[in-house]
Amino acid sequence: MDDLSVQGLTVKDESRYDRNSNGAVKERVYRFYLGKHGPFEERVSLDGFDPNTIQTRITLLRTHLQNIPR
Amino acid sequence: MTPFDPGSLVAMLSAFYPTVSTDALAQAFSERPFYFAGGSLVGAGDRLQLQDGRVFLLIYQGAWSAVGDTSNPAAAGVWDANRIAAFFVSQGVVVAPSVVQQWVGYWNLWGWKDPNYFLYRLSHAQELVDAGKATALPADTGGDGLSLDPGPLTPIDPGIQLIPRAGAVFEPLVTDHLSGLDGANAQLDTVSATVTTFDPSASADALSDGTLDGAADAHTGAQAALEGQDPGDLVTTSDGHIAVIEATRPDYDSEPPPDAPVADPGPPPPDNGGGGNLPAPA
Repeated sequence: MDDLSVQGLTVKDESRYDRNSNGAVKERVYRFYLGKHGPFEERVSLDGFDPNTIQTRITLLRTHLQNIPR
Repeated sequence: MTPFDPGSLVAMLSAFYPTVSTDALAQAFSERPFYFAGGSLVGAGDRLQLQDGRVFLLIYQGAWSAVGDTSNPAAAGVWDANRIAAFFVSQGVVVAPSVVQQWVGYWNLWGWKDPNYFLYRLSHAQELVDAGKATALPADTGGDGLSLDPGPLTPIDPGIQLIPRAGAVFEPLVTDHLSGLDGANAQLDTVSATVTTFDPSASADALSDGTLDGAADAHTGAQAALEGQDPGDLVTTSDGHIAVIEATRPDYDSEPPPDAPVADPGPPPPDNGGGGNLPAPA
């Protein structure tokens, strides 16, 4: 099985304009690789920020990467 | 531009958008554009076209996918003659333009829209070269493939002598002068021996062995002799000479020499009444 460990992780806080809310949205941007796959980019809103959110997303991505037929 | 990874896109769609539909795809495109590498959704909204023209089918048989789609007319236009020729050049094979155009015609007309078609052609590149339809680029041997044509200049043979060397000039001069110094070594050796053998202590003995003892007496004797001489007669005789000289010297009676000629300055300049001169008195 391929190595799907997190590699090259960068974390940065950004602020962008949201058309739906017509206002600025502050997010924490995670960019990383899972083994040789990627890059991935996941944004987590800083409004009500939960540090476990990104770990949950990484676990989901890793699970579905393993399901992709090779 | 973010590189496109089909596996990452499919994993993201599967993880966060479990419902496979064009609406979900549009939502994913809006919420996570990073995964789509700057491409755009085309066709029925289920295809992604990248900026380099590649098209991927993202919904296939009810599931998220990233299948290379060549049935899209937009994708077909990407494989034009220039791109095909460049593809083969990148693989070390130069294909004749007429052959490339023929392949493009086959591909567009007969529906051979599989990009692997050209890979198939490349795998048989040697057959193409043998058939005269392609030219193999020379192997990279450090520059042979890009060697320059011979130019109009002929390199100079580094072994030839452009300026003939003149005969030895300084050697005879030096030899002649050196010959005049023959025997100098013996003289130098003599001097050196003399200096070496000089004994200053022995020479200093002359001061104490009576050699200089008579010097004081000789000096005293000379001084006494000088004191005994009276120059008065000589002074008296000299005084009488003045009268003799005055009596025998005649008066100056020669004509004075003429004056040195003086150049004529010429007539004075006319008075122009102005131009820097003082104004005429009123």
